[in-house]
Amino acid sequence: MAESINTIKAGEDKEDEVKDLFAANPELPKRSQAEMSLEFERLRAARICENLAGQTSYLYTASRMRELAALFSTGEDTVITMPYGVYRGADAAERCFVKDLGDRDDPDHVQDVTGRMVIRDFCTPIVEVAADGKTAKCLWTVPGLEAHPDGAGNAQGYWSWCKIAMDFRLEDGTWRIWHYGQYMYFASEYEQDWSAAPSFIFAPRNNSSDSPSPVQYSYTPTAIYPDSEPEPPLPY
Amino acid sequence: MMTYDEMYFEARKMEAEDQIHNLIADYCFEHNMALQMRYYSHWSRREDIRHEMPWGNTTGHEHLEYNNPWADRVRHPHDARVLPAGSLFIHLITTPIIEVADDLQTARCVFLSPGIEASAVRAAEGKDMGAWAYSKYAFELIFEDGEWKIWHSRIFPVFRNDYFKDFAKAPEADLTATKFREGLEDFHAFFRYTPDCVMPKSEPEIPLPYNTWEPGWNFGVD
Repeated sequence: MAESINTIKAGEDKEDEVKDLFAANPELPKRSQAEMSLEFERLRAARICENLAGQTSYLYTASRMRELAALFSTGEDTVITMPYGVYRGADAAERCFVKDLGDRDDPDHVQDVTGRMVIRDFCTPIVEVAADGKTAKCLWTVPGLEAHPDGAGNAQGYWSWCKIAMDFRLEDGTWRIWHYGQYMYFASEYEQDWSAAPSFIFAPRNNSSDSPSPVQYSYTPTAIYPDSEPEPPLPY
Repeated sequence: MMTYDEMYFEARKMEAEDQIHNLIADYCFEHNMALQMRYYSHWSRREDIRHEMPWGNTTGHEHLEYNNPWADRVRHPHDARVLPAGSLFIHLITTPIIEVADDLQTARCVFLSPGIEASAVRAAEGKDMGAWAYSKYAFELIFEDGEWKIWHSRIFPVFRNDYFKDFAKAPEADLTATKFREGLEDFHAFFRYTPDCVMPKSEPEIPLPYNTWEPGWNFGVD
């Protein structure tokens, strides 16, 4: 590749550049190298977390559940909240995604994977990396869709909109999903007005969750939209 | 603690990611306004550029301008008025994964793209005027003359169905039957949802961090 202006300059002249920058702009807040370093690590962490969130979407759609589960922490304090149940513990992701939803390569889950189309678009991101750069709290609006076979050779499409909240934690130099929560807006049949039709929850055949999911919002003409489901993250 | 060089590197990498995100968003807006010719200015000047659309592929510049739906209508970057009345294309980009190589010379990115289309021409043909148009985008980009340029691109269709037809029931239209075939090469089969399908494993393949470009990613497909 031809050298471009993207080539990094190395060496002591970089420090002189920084000194020149501050001399020319005395109003700039001065930070130590350690403070600047932490700030860059936090910026990079935000990008990594957004990429990880994107990975969950693509992997879930492709039913690559083993790879999806591998993105999660295996700490005992891992929590996954799905609309149909809450999973806790070191094996939360393994049970939720591999055992219950089923991996595309698992012969025991051919029935679950066939005809399942789930597409989740991650939008409207809020990404807050902690001041110490070791954890992150994130929230996305996810306008999505699903299609499921009916077992009689036909399929039904659904508009499936939700919010997905994820907490991330830096573990041994790798960012892992620590807490995961899916909170529904609605999942209505394609042909139905989402404001008038019943909303569906798609639970897997096997459901090894540890407890029922907390009651979640579902639109009705008399429902009041909750003010914290979940709470949008703030700087911390 | 990061050295100054490492911080400088991180800043350039994040700057690149933002520029690339803006570039692809620019494409979406240009497609929205049928400013396809302006879109061509985003492509690398290399002759190994590759543009893979649901109706066929092109390599190089000679036929690139034909690999778009409005090739016979749009000839000038500002010629949006040539677009037929009653046409609307909105293709969003969501769920980005953007990986810039450590050498800052190339990048790979993927997006989901929910969208809608409207066409008075379609209505005149007895079809619904409005349509849902969902796809996925994958790009390889190269840093050239101080700017990020598109090097390889592929659109993965998910579905494109008339407004009132359930995407789980309506088959994807055979886009190879479209009339704009000038210079189009090999065609790759693309995904169509059916009740007995298994979603494709790698449409597209998720880009991962990498040091320097080597052939083989190819959007995850053979």
